[in-house]
Amino acid sequence: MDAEVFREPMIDSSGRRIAKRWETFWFEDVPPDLYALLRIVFGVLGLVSIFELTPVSMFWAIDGIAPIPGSGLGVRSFLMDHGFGGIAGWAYFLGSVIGFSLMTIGCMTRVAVVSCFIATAFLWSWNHLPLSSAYQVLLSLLFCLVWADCSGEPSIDALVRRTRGLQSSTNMQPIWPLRLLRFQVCLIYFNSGMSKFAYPVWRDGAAVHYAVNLNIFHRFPWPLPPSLDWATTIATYVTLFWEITFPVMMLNRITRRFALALGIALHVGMWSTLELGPFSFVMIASYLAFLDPVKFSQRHSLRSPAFLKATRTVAQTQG
Amino acid sequence: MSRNRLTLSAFLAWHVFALVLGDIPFPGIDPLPPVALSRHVSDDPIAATVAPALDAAVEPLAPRLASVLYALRPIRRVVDAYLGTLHLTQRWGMFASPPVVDQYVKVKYYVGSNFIPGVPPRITWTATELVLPAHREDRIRALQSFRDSSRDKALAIALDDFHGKLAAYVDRQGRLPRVLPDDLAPIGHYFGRRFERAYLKPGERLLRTEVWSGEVPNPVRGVAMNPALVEARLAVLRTYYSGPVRGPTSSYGTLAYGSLENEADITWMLKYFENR
Repeated sequence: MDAEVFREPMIDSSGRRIAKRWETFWFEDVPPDLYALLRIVFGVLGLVSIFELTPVSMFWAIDGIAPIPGSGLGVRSFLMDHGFGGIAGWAYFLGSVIGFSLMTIGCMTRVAVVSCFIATAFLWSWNHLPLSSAYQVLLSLLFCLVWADCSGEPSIDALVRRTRGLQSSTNMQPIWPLRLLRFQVCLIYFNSGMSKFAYPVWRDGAAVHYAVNLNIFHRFPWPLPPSLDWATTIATYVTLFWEITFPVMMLNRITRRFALALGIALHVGMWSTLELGPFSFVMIASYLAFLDPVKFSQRHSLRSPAFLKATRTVAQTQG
Repeated sequence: MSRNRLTLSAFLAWHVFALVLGDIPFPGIDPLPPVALSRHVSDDPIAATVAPALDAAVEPLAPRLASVLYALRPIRRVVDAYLGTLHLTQRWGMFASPPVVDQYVKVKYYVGSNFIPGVPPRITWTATELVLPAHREDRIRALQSFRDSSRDKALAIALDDFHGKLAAYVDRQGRLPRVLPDDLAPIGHYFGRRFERAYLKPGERLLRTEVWSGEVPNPVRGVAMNPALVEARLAVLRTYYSGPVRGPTSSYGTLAYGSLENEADITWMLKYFENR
């Protein structure tokens, strides 16, 4: 009887505690500066990725190096049949350039970020042939940014607000888009690691040897001599273990720093030995999501001192 | 927790679950590698130590995981529909199974002129252009190569798509039929048009475009490449680096899918053609 009396409030309190933790984890308010930085960085990388897909006639025009129209909703077939294949390609290209430019400078930010996500998403249906993993990563990260107000300073939107005598900064933002972004990056690495683990070429340590020898990707014209095979074997195993353990290493401050530093080293190593387009840049840029938004705001903000003071007060209250 | 946050919590929980489940390759839905043991590990002391331990981990794990995933297949279909609608279907198997061959693609052009009605057109000259890789293999790849990587990627994916569908077309004797998947058609169309605009004189017409793909196996770990073979291949490739190479007037009458051709250690196979 006594036990029953005590059990109910205990379950209730642990349930409340979990709910409270859940709420803090996903819905804590954070300063908007990190979102603004992510907007600028991914806006620039979006532009880089768009300009990598040039000449326009090769990748954007329907009669370029693109799948033969005829599948999907028939939009490409319709445009092709009516002689708009080239014009539609140019319109899509210029629309994407304008979208990512607006996103970068923070003009009509919310519309720009959503437009960039939609334009990037439909690029796969338009022409999937030249799209690499960098495209997939960019798309997944843009999806997370869609849910946050990224128009914080520096941006045209903030400038306009200030000129109109309004508060130039956006309000505090919920952390959940940032959490989603972090989760997405962890998932990319974990899944990539597990996929690799399934193949013998990664377990026997030879994968990097084959990758750096591929004529489509290798940056240097000469093959690696067998005397350096030990280096490719180590690189294979380090990559495999780092990718699989990446999500776990994000749980602790020290291991997080180690994993991110190793990640930067591995991506720089990949960039210097393999031509992978913007992939290395996009992945390194995604690490910005792991910065503490409050500390980042206090150290690097360009916003008004009054807002910063308010931010510090919020941080202290939550801390 | 407010009602808004409760709704958002449900969405977040579902989205995270969908991303995780959607990322896992499922038996019967996604292409999965057969469970195979590591190779050539005795050549490398590090691999000889690590590979058996990893193999030991994957061998018992694979069948158990397969049975769990099989049970989750109906949910995975719902997840696929959700992620597909958002265009967030994800596959992160970058270099999971790196090709073990160097890949090349060349396009052959057959040009005719002096067309007389009722008379079959005559080939007056031919040319061959190397289109994959876009860069020179005998130089370090720098800035231009960043842009070229898209073209290489596009051609490599077109080849992958083509090979992925090819098995369904090949007959029981392993022969190629008269009709093949159209995945290489964009390569023939695009480079054919570009060649026409750049090199054909008034009165000339492109009669036929052929897409040939070439492969050279890369040496396994521990084996050095034969310098003479590498130099011979580079000598062949260098002839293509200044643009389309004009060839002798030749007939294509006997050339069918699967026709083979050798240049140095590159074995070329005809995989697409279109007659105009």
